[in-house]
Amino acid sequence: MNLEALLRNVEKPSRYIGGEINTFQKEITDNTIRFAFAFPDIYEVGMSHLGMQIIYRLLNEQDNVYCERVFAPWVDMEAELRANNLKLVTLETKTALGDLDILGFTLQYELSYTNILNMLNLAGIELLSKNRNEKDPLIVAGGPCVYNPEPLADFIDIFFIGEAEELLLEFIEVYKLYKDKKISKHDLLIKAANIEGLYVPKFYEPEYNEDGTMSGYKVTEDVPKVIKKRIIQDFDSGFQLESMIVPFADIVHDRAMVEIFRGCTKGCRFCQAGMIYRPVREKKPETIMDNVEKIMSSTGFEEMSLASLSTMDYSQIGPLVKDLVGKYEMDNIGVSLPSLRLDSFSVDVVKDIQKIKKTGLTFAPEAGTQRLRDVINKGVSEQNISDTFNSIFSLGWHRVKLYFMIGLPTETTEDLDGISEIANLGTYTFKQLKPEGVKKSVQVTVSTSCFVPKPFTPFQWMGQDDIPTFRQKIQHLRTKLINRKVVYNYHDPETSLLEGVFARGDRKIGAALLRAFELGCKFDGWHEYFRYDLWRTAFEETHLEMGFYNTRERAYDEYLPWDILDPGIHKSYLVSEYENALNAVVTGDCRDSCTGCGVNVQIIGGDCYGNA
Amino acid sequence: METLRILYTKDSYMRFLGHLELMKLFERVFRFNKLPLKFSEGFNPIPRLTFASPLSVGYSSKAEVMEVILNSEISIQQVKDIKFPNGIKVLDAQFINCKHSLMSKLEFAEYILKVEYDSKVEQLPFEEWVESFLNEKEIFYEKKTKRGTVKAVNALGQIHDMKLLYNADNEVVFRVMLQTGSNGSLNPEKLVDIFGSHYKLNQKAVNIDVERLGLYFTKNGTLTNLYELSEEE
Ligand code: SF4
Repeated sequence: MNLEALLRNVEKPSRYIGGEINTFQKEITDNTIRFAFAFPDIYEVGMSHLGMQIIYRLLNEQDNVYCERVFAPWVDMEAELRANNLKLVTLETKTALGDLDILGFTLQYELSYTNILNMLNLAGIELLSKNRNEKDPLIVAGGPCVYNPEPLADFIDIFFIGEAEELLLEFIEVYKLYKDKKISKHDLLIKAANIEGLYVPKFYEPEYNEDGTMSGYKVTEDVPKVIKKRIIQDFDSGFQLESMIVPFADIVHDRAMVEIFRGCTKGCRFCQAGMIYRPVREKKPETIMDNVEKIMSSTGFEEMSLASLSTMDYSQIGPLVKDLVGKYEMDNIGVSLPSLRLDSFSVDVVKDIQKIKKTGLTFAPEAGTQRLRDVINKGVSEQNISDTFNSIFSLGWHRVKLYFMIGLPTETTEDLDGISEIANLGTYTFKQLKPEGVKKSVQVTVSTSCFVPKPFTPFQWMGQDDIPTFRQKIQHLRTKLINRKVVYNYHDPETSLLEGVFARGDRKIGAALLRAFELGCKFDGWHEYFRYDLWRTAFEETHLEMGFYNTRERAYDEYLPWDILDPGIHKSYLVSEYENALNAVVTGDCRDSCTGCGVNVQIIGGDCYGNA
Repeated sequence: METLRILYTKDSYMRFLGHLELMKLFERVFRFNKLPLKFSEGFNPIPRLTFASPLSVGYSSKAEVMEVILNSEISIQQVKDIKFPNGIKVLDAQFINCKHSLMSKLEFAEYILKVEYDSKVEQLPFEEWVESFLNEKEIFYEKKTKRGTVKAVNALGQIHDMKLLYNADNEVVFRVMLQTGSNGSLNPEKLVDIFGSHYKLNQKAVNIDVERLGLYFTKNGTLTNLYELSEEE
């Protein structure tokens, strides 16, 4: 059976057909470097990812590069491929992945790692780096999870640390020499390792102490001792995304995405993105307006979203939103904001946008008490929360979603109770206001996720809560959140504990990953496919202990697997931030005054905003 | 307010687009090609697109018909020049003045059915079978109604024409004209099924490739392409 016949047997075949508006069909010659952007989840998830859109256009605008796409096939498609002995192919030209030059995976979340192995396997490519040769494609990876690359170090040839735009093009230049057979694969890897921001794990051998902790890396070739992350210095004038692929299937974020700034200055201590994407770099409003115009007039999207880590913190967000709404309202194009701050300013901005649609708003207080919010440095006060409730309900909203984390450092029962107090404050405020014209009754949805400590955050040393502790906390909340107008959703702890293993794992756990894949684990981030029992077996069989990686507390002087990377933030800064956390001492927004994280010295070699 | 009617193809990989996906695609393509779309009133303004007959996922078509309401007329050439993904092509377009809805007037659809069986069928008398099949008065099949109940429908009342085009190896190709529309439809794959069981075929159809050739209504007793539907009908 060929691909077309098999597409009849799967659900949503449009996931696999390609040919969407603004995709590329390029002439392929002997000199064409053939790259596939590989997303280890299904089409609907991968196509919602802005990074994919950026890399796709950036690479395809190069003459001698053809970038195609491939996503994890859903289980029905995988079964068809395997039953018919067909290989996993790209969407654009239906080329088997093994026939390409470079496969670039993006690591957005740890629970997609088995899908990477599964995709390689479906393409008939050897999983372990050391078993691949010059005939095989080079397997590279980027994305936020590369800030601890070690769990995947046995499988991936090169990791891209930091923002890839400039880095990829530099790498392509070197790859050309290899493609032209001027250098060997070994020389290619040596040259790559000497490009700032590229980590070639094969040249760095982990060394361990007797207790299983690491003592460091043995550098086996003439390559840098530490790998520094890369950033785009001039975000406003660098590569601009001016068009996007218009997806077919009903994807998760089915709208235009326009990036307005990178980085974040809030300094939330649990947030890895806030640490690794520093410093903040904004685009000028003119640049943004221009990007939007070009994207809208080549895609036909009916909605645009202003993307960033914390959109409300864009210095000119108010005027920008006004301008966009003013310009696009006539064409029935909506503006959406991905994240709202808990303050009246955010509500002011959003009320212009959602004039008609009162679909419900989402906020993230993250923790239930002021004390715990100070611990995590989430700059939200009780006043902010009650003001926000007041303004949204008087403006006519009656539904609100609140996100919290459980398992934060120093958390007590009082902090959990605080979550229910905030929810009750919401319903109470609504009843006090009795907003006119709102006939529906109030609904507050509380969602809790289980906290996963991440590398390069002040919490990178702490032990994660274990499963029974998380269960107890969830049970406690279930008995507390009994208000009939409050809905409580929670994430199961098992997935977070596994995420915790990979977030702070070392190279050894690659063996458990491989075993789990062999046992049939895939789509671990999908509730219906997550098999914690198989994962436990995989760890037992490879004589590894999950607890060593997730629930164990580390000492400050322990060498951590990701210490080989330098995201620009001083370890001493992270230590002092952890100490501050334990003492519930807050650290201000560094836009107002530099708090000395080190990015200015390490990465920019100058000031972050002239105040650093 | 102007109604633009478009005749287009849906084939190669685009046959795998679902109906909702197809509608979204048309909307977005119209939007960035700056067609003066007329939006519905109300909370959530949406453009007004109607499709004559949703095509099942996997079926291709040589002639589909859809309409879109615009605020003002634009040049037909501009419409014909609109670029869709490979497989969707505007064949013709016209502004019409016609109060009838496509859906209510549609009566028949013509298909080519390529049926692949799990073993040889070329020895079987398909030619005669088709002839005798059409001479039958009634062959009932069960159909689920919208309410979830099952009713018996006479398939022969829904077949306007059926011809055998080809029969070799494992493959048989038919050309059929079947009832389609608000008064009832016969699914082409169902027809293959009914035909097979009527002649007690041991071979199983493993793959049915369906191509729609056109959509029709009756005008003065003759079948006419739905694209030609006008006010007088
Ligand atoms: S160097 Fe200072 S201003 Fe720059 S990101 Fe770090 S704390 Fe913020």
